[in-house]
Amino acid sequence: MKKALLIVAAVATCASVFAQSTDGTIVFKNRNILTSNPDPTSAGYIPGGNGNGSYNVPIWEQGGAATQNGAGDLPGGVTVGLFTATGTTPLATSVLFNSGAGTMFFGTPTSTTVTVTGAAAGSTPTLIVRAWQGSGGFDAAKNGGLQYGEWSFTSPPLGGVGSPPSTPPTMTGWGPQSGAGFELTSNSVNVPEPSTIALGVLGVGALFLRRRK
Amino acid sequence: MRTKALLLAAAFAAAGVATSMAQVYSVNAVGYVNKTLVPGFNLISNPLTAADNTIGTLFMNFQGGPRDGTTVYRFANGNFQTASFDVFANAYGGDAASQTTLPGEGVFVFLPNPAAGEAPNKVLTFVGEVPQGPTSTPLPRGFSIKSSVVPQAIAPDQAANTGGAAGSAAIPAADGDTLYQYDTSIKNYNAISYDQFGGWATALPVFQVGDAFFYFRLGAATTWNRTFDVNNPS
Repeated sequence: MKKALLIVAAVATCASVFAQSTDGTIVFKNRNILTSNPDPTSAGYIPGGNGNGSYNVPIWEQGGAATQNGAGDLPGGVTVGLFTATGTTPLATSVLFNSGAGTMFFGTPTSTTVTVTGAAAGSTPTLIVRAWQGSGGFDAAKNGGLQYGEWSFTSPPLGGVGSPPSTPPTMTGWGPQSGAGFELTSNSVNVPEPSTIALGVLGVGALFLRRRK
Repeated sequence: MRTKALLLAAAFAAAGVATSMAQVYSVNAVGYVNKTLVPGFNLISNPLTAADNTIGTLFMNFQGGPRDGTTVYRFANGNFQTASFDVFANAYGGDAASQTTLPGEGVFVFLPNPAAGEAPNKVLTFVGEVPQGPTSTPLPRGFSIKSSVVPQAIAPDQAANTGGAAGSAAIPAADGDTLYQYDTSIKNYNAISYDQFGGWATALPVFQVGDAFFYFRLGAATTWNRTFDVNNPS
């Protein structure tokens, strides 16, 4: 019995030691994200959409990529959030600029250092970026006919690992390195047209009159 | 007689004025800075120009002596060079020991945990001269460790020229540049990016004298220029 208790205690100690690993960090932004090979002096250098080893992930309104219509000026504005694969609460959010030339980019704030809860420094978790129109949140936008978007990607090794600790990476892996970005989408919601309602009322009226006769 | 006395008085007065005008003021400002380091990693700078700025010399000046295993990490060309203190050799060994770290640059210092009964923190004393006149700190493309070139607690975007020099002395941020402040309490960084549409994502923190930060320059290399005059702070 005593032996069993000792083993349990030892296992618990080991578990607590392993649980002390530091959560990793990433810089949440959609401009000047480094490509997967941003060093111009190395073989296989990827200049990216910006031509200097970085790229942007502009967020366009539905059908707006061709016309370069940023999503930020949609009614109610557009919020972008960073989520873990299983999380429903965003680790961080940013609201797109709602006017000017940069409505496809993060505005408030333009970037944030995010601690990815539950993901150790140096790990490469799957992260999800969600964008939604209006103030009701992602699900409300998705189910309410407003514009939204959802994209998952494998994070580069999160910052904080090594000696000295590594700096937090940018969102490398999210979006095309060409800088084409993403368009939002929307679901159609079945709202009866006025003519349908009018036809219904007429039908009910006709039935009513016929029964009275 | 009266005229003679007046002339003599005038001559003494003139001599006095001439003597006071001839006084020589030293433009050098020499002093010391005490920097407290905590166990673990510290991102710090050498705030004064010492007689010998090599890492093997600068980092001997811990009060009570360096702790065995204290390691200095110098960042050069995308990699770290190291210098570790060995208590038996009473010296730093490693490729960074003979390298310098100057005001405007920075290094990581790893302070090992204290021995039993020893205070956890250590004080490192820098002795030297305050850099004055026009200064130029290189900001290469990519990562580098930087700091204020003069010993002044300041946010890098608030630095000003003194000595009557015109123009801004703020760090010349460009689109995509990122400043990383190392926080010893969370053992991780706070990254603040510069964006052409919104400027710095948040206000840059005030770095204390002897602090340093990582700087990522996305575009072409440039320099952070600042003119400083101790005797003429405007």
